[in-house]
Amino acid sequence: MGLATRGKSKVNSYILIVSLFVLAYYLIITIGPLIYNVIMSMSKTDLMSEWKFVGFKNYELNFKNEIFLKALTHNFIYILILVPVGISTSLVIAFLIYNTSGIAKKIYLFMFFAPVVTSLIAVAVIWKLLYYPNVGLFAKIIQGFFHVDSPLFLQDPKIALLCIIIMDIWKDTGLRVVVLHAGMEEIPQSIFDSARIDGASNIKTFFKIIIPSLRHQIIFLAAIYSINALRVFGQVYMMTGNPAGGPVHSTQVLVVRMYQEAFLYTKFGRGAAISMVVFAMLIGLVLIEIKSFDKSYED
Amino acid sequence: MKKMFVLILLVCLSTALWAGGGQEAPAAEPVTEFSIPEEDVTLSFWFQDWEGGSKWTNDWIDVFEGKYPNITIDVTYLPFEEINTKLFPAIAAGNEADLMFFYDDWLLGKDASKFFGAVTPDLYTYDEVKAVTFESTIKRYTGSDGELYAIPWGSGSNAAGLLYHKDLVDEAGVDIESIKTWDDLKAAAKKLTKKDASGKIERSGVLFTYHEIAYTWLDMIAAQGAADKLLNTETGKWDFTIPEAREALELINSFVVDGIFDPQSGDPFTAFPNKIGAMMEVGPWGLGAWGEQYPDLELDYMYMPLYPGTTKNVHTVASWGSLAYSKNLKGAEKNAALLFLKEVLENPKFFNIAFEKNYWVGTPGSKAYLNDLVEKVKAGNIPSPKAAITASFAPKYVSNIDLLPTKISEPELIRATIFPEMTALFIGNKTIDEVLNYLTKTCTNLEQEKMM
Repeated sequence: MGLATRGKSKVNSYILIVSLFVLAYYLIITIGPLIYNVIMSMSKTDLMSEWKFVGFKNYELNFKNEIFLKALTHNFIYILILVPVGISTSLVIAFLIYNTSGIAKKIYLFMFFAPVVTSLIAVAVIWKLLYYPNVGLFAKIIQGFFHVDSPLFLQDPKIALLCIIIMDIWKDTGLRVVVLHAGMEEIPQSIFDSARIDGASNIKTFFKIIIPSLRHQIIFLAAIYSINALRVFGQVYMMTGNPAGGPVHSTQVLVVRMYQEAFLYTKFGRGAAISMVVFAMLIGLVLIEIKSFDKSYED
Repeated sequence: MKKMFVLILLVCLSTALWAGGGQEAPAAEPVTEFSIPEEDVTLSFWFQDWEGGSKWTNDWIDVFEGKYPNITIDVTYLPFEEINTKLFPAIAAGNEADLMFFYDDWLLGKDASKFFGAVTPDLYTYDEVKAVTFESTIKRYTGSDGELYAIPWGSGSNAAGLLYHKDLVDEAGVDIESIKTWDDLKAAAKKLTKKDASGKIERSGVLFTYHEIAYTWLDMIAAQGAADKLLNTETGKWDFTIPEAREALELINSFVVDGIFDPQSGDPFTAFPNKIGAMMEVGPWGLGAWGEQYPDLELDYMYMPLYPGTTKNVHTVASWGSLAYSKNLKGAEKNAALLFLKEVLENPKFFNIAFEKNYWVGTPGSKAYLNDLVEKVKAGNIPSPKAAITASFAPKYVSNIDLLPTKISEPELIRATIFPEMTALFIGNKTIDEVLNYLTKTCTNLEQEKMM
């Protein structure tokens, strides 16, 4: 064997050994528990007094369970409202901030970003108080300014989930604004100059230049927030936690349901099955995201 | 190289699977004679966090450690929801506390011997424990081997009656002593209801916003002698469409229909202390909890009135706070844990602290202590106002316990299933028929799943 080949072989062995440590870590920390979870999702178990293999029975029971189906529906509603409303409001705000300059721009960015860095639990508790029926701040404002009965917010099964989504949109608006604003800053000024020369209004500039230019950022944010909407837990648990899932299960979502099945009712098999459903949906979303990215780069 | 890589990958995968597998059950320990440990021992203890409870536990630990200076109890106070969700996963993982507080209905449908260390025969015989406490609780932590795996601590006595604001009751001229039936309760609650100019309820006469109203509904069905019709334990079938269930639910719902209870008056833990309700259907533990948290409130408690046409109350879902120790303890640590349980059950100082210092209202787990307390109060030797309340309702409560033989745990049956449906009815989301049919189907599925 020549010197070059021996050297190459040494490097290959070194790479293999180092990779194996990383791979072993990944297998033990990620893949191993995933496989364990799959097995648990096919078992009837409370982890202590019984462990019985039941095949896909847990999945069948979940998909026949009205509360699980409600939770699934609520997660889709969460995505359908959080993503478009969140991104469109952030786009408008980012555009308005883009059109300012100097210290004002910095102040606006700071103001909108402040809730992003605030603890989710603290924000959820405060908004829960704001939403308190009849005596909370929002109720007082509606009664005082509009002289009508205020809605019951988190106590009303029809709008409880919407109230949580509004809080969620508010909390992360700053992050979306910063990302979109940064994207706007990357657009060459010459394009705006040309548009102005051609007589384009601000609105036309917004729809014809800015939005198409921010396609990648928008797809990225849509993917991230869709994933967040599928995994939502803290907001729902803190704001409608007594009982968790809100009045008449109106804010029930998959991760809260999973938590209840596994830890409250000690039906770990059922909880594991719900987690696998969430996992499958997340994988699907990630694949769609990757495909959208590839397509937008090709374009 | 490729084959080596695949082989190593398979080894790592197998290791991961093996590492992720469940724990083996510990080998059975030979029965040993209990003795008071002489070595220094420290025991960790998980207890539920509430104001009166933590003060009581701290004072009790001082007494215990004073009597046994070589034993240190390191207590951690956990909110109710956290104890509920932390306990069993911790036991499964083998990192539970040495001493644990829990509620016995969490063990429904489970074998207690897989969870905790044995109390009998190491510390007592089964009959010895049966003689000093109440049978309704020890049934739930009797293991498949016939031995006991916990001791009763006490019962908050859920759905035993109603908590009320004395000042509001006096202001409305309501005589609490005259409330004997639910019809009387409705009349009194009507007097206590306050409405604004538009007829909207500003203050409900009575609040049913806490899940214990679901217990009361089941109790009403049983009081009419229909418990066997409600649940068939052989087939696991529930039937909420029976006339007794419908009539009882209609009675409760009539408080909404007649404008006495606003079902959307908010979280009861905020609404009741803020007098958005004059009375609230809850266990007397509420008096202990809110009495400590809001000392300026003038609160009192009344035992549950009778369902119309019945002569006796029935309590079908009694929940007992209980104490157990970790099955992983051995030697001196195990004996120290058993000693702690023994002192709780036998030493009158344990409940004396609660009642003399006004920390708690509920039913003590010790029969002897309760009987002694009742005699003391009758003789005019009243340790505290809360002790007097306990003496007045607790004997009735325990004698009326007749548990529904369901295998569904309380969180799932009451909090997650029955109470949300009752709320749906109260707020007009569902009709009574829809509620009854849904509960029949869902509870049957849950019960039969437990039998699977």
